[in-house]
Amino acid sequence: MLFANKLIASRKYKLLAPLRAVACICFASAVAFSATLEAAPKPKFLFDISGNESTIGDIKPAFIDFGSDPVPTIPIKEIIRRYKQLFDSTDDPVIRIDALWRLNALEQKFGSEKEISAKDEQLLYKRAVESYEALIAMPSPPYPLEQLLYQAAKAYDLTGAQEKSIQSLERLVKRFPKSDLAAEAWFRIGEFQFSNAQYALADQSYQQTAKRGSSTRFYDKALFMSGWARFKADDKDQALESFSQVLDVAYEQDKSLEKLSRLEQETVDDSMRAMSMIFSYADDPLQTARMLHRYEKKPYIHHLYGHLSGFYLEQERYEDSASVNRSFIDLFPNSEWAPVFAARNIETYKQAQFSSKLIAEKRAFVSRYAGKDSKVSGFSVEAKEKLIPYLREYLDDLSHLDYLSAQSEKNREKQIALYQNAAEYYETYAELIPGDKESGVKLFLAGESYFNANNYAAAVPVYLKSAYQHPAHKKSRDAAYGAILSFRNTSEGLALAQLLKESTTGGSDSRRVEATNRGLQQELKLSLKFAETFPEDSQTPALLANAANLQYQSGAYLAATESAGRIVANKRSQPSLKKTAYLLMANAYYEQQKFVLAEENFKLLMPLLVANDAELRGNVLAKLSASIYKQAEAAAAAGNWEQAVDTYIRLTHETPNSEYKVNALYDASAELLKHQQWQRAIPLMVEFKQEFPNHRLTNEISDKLVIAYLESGNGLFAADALLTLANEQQGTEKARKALYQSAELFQESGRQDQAAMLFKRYQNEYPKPVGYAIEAAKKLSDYYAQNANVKAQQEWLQKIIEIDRSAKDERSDRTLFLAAEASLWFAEDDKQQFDRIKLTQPLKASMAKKRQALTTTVDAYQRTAAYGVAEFRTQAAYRLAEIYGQLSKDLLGSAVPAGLDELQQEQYTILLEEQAYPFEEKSIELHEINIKNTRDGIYDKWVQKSYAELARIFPARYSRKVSVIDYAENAY
Amino acid sequence: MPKMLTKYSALLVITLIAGCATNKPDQGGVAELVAKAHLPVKSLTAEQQAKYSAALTLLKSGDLSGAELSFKELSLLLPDASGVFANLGVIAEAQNDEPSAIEYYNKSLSLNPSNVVALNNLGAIHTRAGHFKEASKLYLTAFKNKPDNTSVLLNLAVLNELYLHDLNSAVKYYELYQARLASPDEIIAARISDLGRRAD
Repeated sequence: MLFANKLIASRKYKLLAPLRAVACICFASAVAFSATLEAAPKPKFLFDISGNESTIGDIKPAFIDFGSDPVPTIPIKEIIRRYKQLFDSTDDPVIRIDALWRLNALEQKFGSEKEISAKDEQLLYKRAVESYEALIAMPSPPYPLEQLLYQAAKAYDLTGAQEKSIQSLERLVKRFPKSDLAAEAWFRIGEFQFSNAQYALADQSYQQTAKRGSSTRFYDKALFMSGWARFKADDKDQALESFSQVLDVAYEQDKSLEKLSRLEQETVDDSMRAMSMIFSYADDPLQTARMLHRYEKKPYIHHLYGHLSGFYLEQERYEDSASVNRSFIDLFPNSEWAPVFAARNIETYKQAQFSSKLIAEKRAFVSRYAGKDSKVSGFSVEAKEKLIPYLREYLDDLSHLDYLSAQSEKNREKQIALYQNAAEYYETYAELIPGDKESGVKLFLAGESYFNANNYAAAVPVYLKSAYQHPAHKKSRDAAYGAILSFRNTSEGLALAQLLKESTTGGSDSRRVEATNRGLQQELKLSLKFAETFPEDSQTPALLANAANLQYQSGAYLAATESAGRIVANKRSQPSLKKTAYLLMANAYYEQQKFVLAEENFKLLMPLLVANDAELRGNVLAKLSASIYKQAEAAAAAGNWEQAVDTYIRLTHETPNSEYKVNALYDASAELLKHQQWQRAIPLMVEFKQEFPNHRLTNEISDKLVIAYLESGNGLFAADALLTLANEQQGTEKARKALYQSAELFQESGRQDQAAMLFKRYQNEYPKPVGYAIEAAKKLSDYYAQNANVKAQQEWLQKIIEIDRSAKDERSDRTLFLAAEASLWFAEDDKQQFDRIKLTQPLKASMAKKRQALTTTVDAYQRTAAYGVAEFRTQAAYRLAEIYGQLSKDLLGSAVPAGLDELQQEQYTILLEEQAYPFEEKSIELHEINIKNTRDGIYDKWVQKSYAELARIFPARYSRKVSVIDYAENAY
Repeated sequence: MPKMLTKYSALLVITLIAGCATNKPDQGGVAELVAKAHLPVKSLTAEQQAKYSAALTLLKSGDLSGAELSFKELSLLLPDASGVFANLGVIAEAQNDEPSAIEYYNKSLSLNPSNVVALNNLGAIHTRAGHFKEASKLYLTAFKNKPDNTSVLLNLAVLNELYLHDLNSAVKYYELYQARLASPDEIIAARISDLGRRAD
């Protein structure tokens, strides 16, 4: 039934002209008939009758439109029955054939409503065959002979007369080689020949069909069958050629060769299967390769390789299958299909359970498509995306495999290599599949692998990516910490550690770490990033502490305080770290000259120091003290002296053992003294002296203390202080002055005895300079005068005279004055003695005594006057005048000796007057000399007394009054 | 004229010439007083004159407190009247308030450096205090302005005699004083004679 299906499939049905009229009529009858059964249908047939037809044959053919018009309401069965009836009833081969064609057409359209059985059909076609032969035999058949031959062939085929059928087709192709039906005819011939194992002939027939071009519907089938024919004929190369042509055709329709119609797909699959078989017959892979090589230009070459590979795999020829895959990869390394073959190799070995080869293939795959020299640069986006699942799986497998292997590897060198491999696989995984949820963890594992392989430099960036450049995952924290640990093992990290060690231990190049140090920057970056991202982590405080320390070491004090502050604020920070933090903050603030904050933090640090932090405690206290001191200094510099003083004092209380205490006491004292706050300054200076008796500034403090005492009215304290100074620096000029001043102060304060003692001591210890010595003697003479110790007074007065006398170049107006004063005292004393001598009888004797006393007294006054000191000179002159005057009076007033008569008494009196008068004259003379001092502007008490005395003695000459005008007569 | 007098007169002239030739002001305000010696004299209104006269009457009568009150009122009324302040000075002296007297006399002299009362009485105060040079200057200024004022002449004579020990000048001024008296004073004559002997 070669044609049966083909006939059904054929929709084109040529109606020959001569039959059309008959058909019209038949159909018209049918229509008319059917019309009586139902309402008149819409005309299905178009007639073109012009009226000029003379015979039926002249009637132009009508045609039936089976298109969109609805099926006539006449049941198909009825129509078919009618046609069959027509076929059976007529002997006319033309009508019969026509009816047959009609039947075929109906069956083709309504094939599911066949009304005749297979047996009847056979009978039908037998009879049709006869008609066909009859028509063929006609010299002028009513239909095209090629059609008749074709239909006859079909009929024969339907009746099982294959040979007849073929003969008919052969006649067709021979008579009508260019007929449209020739392609099919040849195909049928080829089919017949193929089925009769006439493969070479069949091939030729098929080739004839193929020659007619790809527009015929048997083209691809012919090629397909040609392939098989050739295969059967053992012409494998040609068979391959045919099959490849089949694939060519299919490729035109669908380049994937996977989305064809079912039939076409089967053809393609069969073709490739056949080709695979042919390829598989090769003696060795090389031969196979050569055969395949012929088709390497074919765009579906990968299908050939793939099919062959699969073919081998079905046969469990694993190596062969893998070899085919490898061949493709080798030949087409840049093909987007190469990875597929590589993956197939992997699957092959997996299926074959060749573990080592499986792993090797996976490595090769990864190397080829994810390594540094990957071949994917020219791949499309789709192709690259297709690789992802494979790479994910293989990278996962390989990385895991190598990692585990490394863990158990005893040979270190091998172990490193395995870790390195694992790392690269993990890393590659993450890079190739960045959005993958496992990428973060993979990178972490990569980091771990690098770390274990001692490739710290590679571990760092990988860890960092894992920790910070991927969404948070279960290993983010470990990755972040791993980066830090890795960095510390790199050359930069180790160099940094060494540098830090040297800087803290005062090594050969003990300098701080430069802020620009790359290692430092990296360590900081890593640590701070960790702390920022994982603030609650147990390592965070320690990392912050380290960072703060580094920042401090590099001079980044502000940053150091911030980092340290975070340690303090972190609840997880242990006391030891808080201690470090406070220490850093305090020192950093100190370096930034933020001394208030520095102090605050030093104080916060103190409670955290433990017993064995003795040295640190000392340093902290020193720094604390320095911080307070600096605050005071700053306040003083800003003019806030009160604040400065308070701060200095606070320092002495809070850090009493600090080395700054001495400065604080000194500076506080200086400020207070500067602002005349004597009472406040005194206790500080006292404290200074007590605590630092041997300090280089102590002497200066002692001096200032004296000033403060004096200014604050504490003369006694000043005196004590000076005395102490004098004792401490005995023999020095300063001590001399201090001793003297101390004595003076004691004197001023009423401590006369103590003052006298000191003046005496001064006299003994410091005879020079004369000025002070004589003053001291003076004070002592006054002291003894006050205490009515005349003898002692005399001694010191004499001392005064002696000091002046031996003063030489140091003699001064003052020494003269004091000496004159002392001399006057002695003169006055002599006068008193003179005054005490009374002129009694016998006058001569008493007068002699008086004269003697006079001489002594006059000499004494003259000595006094000889000093030339005005006020003593006038006094001396007056006294002298007074003495003489007094003597004159005493003489005149002396008693008359008894037993004298009146005349004798009178003569005695005249004699006395003669004795007394010179004295009076002398007295007047001396007074007159004294008043002459007014010429020099001297009009002191004694001059005035001389004037008064002269006015009394000689009123005519010396008693005068000034004249005052009583009023001013005029206003102007 | 006795030889001594002639000599003294010559001395007086020389002194006067020397005094006139001395333009250099010295300290203490005396020079200033001398410089202002020739200021024009002002006059009082009748009412002012009446008040002044009344005050003067009180002073002369010995009513020191009344006179003081009146002259103090007048000092407000006539703040530039040197005579008012001179009288206040006289009153203060009489009340033994020497510092106030000095102040008033200086005020008087600042208004009229030629006020003889202030010059003389202030000179007397200085004499008593022993400021003989200062007294001399004041007296001489007064003498220059009022060469016939007997108080001034007498004070000059005493000053020279007792304190400056310039006996010749003392004679001169005693003689001038004597000449101004209505009738010669025997005591003054005796002094002149004594001084004459001593000066030789």
